[in-house]
Amino acid sequence: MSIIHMSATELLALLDAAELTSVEVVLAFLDQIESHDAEIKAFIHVHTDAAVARAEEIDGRRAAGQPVGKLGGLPVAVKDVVCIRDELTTCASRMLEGFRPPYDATVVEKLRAAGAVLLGKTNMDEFAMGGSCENSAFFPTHNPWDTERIPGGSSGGAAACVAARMAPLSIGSDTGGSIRQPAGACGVVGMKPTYGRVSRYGLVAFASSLDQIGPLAATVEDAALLLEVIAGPDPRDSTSIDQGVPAFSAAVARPLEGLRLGLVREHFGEGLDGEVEAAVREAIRVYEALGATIKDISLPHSKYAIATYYIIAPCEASSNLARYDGAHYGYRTNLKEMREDPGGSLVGMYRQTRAEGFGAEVKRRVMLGTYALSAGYYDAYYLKALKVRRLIAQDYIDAFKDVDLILGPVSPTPAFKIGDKINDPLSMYLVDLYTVSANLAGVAGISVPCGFSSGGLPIGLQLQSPPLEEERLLRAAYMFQQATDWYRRRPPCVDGPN
Amino acid sequence: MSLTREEIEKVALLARLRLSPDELETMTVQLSQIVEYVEQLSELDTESV
Repeated sequence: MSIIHMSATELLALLDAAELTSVEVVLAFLDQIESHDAEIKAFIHVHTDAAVARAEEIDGRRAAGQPVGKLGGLPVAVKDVVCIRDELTTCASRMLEGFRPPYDATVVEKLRAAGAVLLGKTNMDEFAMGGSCENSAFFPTHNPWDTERIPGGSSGGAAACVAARMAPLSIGSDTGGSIRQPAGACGVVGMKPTYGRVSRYGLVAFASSLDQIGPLAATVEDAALLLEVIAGPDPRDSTSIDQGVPAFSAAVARPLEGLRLGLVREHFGEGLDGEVEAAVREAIRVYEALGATIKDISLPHSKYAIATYYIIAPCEASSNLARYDGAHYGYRTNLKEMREDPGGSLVGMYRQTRAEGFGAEVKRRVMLGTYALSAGYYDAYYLKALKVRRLIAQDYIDAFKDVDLILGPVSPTPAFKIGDKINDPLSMYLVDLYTVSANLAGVAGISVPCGFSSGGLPIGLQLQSPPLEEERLLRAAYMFQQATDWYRRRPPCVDGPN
Repeated sequence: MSLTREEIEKVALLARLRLSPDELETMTVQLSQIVEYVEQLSELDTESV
């Protein structure tokens, strides 16, 4: 089996046994990027020289018997919404086109300390707003399984690069499903940890009460390893939870006895594609054969989740993106004459800078959030949404009294074609219907491959756990993975045995 | 609930965005659709929350 087809865990074993060097591993993945990324466009920037230099450094440490860390020598791709010191961090926006952060995000510090080789920055929907990667200011990413289709979003590049074997591991962010949905669309594993499990310091903020950084990988055990490295309390993120990190990678292979899985009856109704439903029902049978019991449960406020999310997230975004004003960061409009504004030249400069720096979806959400927070509307929209959020969170608390995990589809359909929904924002938002609730409630969720459509497109299975039960989630996901072989399949564009 | 072009212009000023006439047009239509969709939250009784 060639290097790029091995899991991170397998590669690590070979690296530790000195049967492979990190330079060999990194060059193999850089080679894959070289030969396939012109078509897939998962990466915005590839850090070729830095990656090889780092790999040489790790090889040197290993050869000298020095500790190399849990990811010693493994390449990791990072969504371009996470700050890497002195490297271009654009959030796929013109607004940050030349921006080089003066610091590393906490997760990047942890990756470096664990011996990871940072491969590059992956493409995304601008400022993490979108479900298709079409909102990138630079170019869309293509689904490796069918390049006319979306890879999902907003962590589309992070999912596509793992699916196309351009990286064994990647880091994404999930605010309303932005790790889980692209993982499902690309046939890889993607996880949103419990809110607060992973530090958001250095994550460019979209919606601060919803954002979480998480791992994407080809296997559950790889995702567990990456989560273990990036998780943990951080004094620089006051929303991070003050709890130690369980040994996820050691625990992942231990099966769960007497697992009680809940099926949300509201998730099996209108809008769910027949083939997706069939794949999920087949997954249910797999779990039953593994000794799990299935229970029909209700999350009664499910139908209000999208409306709740599409008030709260844009409201928080309108506040978080206020800093992009042409004064604090790189981009400022050059159109001197356009700065004239009834509000004065400073206001005119702000307005024109933001008009030029932001794409359509970002503008839409900033406008929506500004409207919902404005005087006279705040109570009816934002405050109301906060209250409904509380009801949604309560639904989960109630449901988890009777079940250990919730099981269901991650997306209503397999990946749609690029361009299909770009002119219909609301229909694009509805793609998030199974994923937003986890962010609203702060619970953890994972997407694992569970089948393919008749057109050969991946279908994702979502599992959700109560807060801080990622171990349970990973162990249950691993049980499923080992009882099936969906995760072994590779997209047609990737060479090698299938 | 439909937003008027005037309301959109006011919100654009608050949001420190300058919208072209085409953008104003599209934004009015799209935001009206989205606001109408999210208004379903008013169906819920949240008195005790």
